[in-house]
Amino acid sequence: MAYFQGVMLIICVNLMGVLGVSLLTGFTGIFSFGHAAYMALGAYASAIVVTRMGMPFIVGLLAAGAVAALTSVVIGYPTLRLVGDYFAIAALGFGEATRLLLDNGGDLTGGPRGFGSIPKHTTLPIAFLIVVLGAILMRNILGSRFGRSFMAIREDRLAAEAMGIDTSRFRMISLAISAAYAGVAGSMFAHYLTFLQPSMFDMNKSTELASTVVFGGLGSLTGSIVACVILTTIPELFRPLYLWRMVFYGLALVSTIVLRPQGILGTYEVSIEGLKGLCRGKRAAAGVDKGGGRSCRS
Amino acid sequence: MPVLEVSQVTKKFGGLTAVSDFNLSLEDGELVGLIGPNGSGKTTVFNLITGMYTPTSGVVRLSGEEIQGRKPHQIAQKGIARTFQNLRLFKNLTVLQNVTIARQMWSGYSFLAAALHTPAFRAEERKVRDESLDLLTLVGLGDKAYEKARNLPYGYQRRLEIARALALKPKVLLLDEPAAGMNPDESLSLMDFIQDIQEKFEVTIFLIEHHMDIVMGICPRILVLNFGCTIAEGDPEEIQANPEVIKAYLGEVQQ
Repeated sequence: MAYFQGVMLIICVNLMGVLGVSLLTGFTGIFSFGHAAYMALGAYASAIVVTRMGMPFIVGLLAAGAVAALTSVVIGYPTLRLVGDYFAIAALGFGEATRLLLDNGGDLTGGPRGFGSIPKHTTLPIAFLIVVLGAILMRNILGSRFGRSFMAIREDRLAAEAMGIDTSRFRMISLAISAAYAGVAGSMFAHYLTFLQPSMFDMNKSTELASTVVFGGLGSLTGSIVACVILTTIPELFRPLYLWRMVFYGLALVSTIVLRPQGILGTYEVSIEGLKGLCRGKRAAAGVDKGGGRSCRS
Repeated sequence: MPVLEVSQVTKKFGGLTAVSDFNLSLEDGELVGLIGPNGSGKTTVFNLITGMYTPTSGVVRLSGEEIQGRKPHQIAQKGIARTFQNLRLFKNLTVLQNVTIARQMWSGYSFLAAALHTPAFRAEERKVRDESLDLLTLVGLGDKAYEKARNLPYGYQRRLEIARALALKPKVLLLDEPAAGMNPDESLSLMDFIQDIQEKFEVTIFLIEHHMDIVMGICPRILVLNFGCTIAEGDPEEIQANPEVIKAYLGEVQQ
């Protein structure tokens, strides 16, 4: 039971990070391979605030989000001028630099030996509550003028600019929100494991976040959520196979890319109304799917 | 006072002068055409007016206010909207979303209101949505509101791009080859459409068109550009009779 709860908890932690990356990559069209760094910053910020300063967990959570968001603004200011792959590369560099800084943080971070004896605060109900709140907040943002501006930038930055959208500013806002989500995920992680090590937040973690979003479908929030649950569960299901389990993880990813390049859900969102429609007849879902709609006249 | 005034604008790319000493004065409610052979600098003029390029020298005024050197989104907010020669729709979004993205420039609720979906947010969203739907109905795309932009037939995509620009409630609308890629019939109906929206929305229009016959039909005043220089300006008859224009389009008889 404890093991099952642990898996659920890790799903919640990953979900929080994935929600952030989904906004940045899926909805704003900016790829980042450095989001583990924002998780790390959030984790350490929260651990320091709660363990060393004796603050309550909620302050740790808020500090984690704030530190990650502020750092992203400082990093984003020069690097968001880069477009396409170049930003992703810069983010990767930032991620590695952050890990090395934490490695050499001396007494503040505990260096490579790690940061221990963090009080355990992240229980399953709390983690679940945070993720649900995070998802609702994200859905609300995406359904507002802010969300539409992000999507406009993803679709065509020049046209978005011509529609009066300050694209530099909105790219920055998107990065800051996504970093804040990753920071909160880090804080949840820290207060679940009670122990932190810089190597937990390496490039693999960043890649995992990015690939989960691609797996679920760029531009689908529910797709990211479904993908995160699947990709966190697969390695656990195959745990008896030891290292072979990662083969199944890879297999799941590769077969999606081959069989369904747009991701599990494409840009389609799962909604309560949609599911009701699906129960009544498959017609409703088929109508929404974009595949059949391509006009032969265009 | 002219709505849009461009005076002595020059744009150089290194040693190449793309546009030199361009002058334009648009009065409120005018429909003016800009023609010229390929590569004559027509689109560059648009890019200079909308802030996509910064002029090397010269002044651009919108209702008397200098706007050259400002960012494109600032100029859009001040009241100049444009379309693009090669359609730049938000292809994977719906027709309605394309228009609301432009219309929402007029709604200013805060980030917090958006995150919490406050009543004020809901009211403003409803307003933007209703206005966008009304606009779509006006341009004849009302029944296509929930289709993805890329699934529309080409002619409708062109209309949608114009509708999106109109959603900004601009003072001046710049249309960059709205009939590009259309057959003569489609072009004619588009020209009717443009005259129609100009009356309905009382907007000043400056349009680039490659096909002379089309532009002659609807623009009372036309400017002709060749190699970045304005070689003629006047009504369609004057333009058609102008030897410089004939030379630019057809070449010169070698004596």
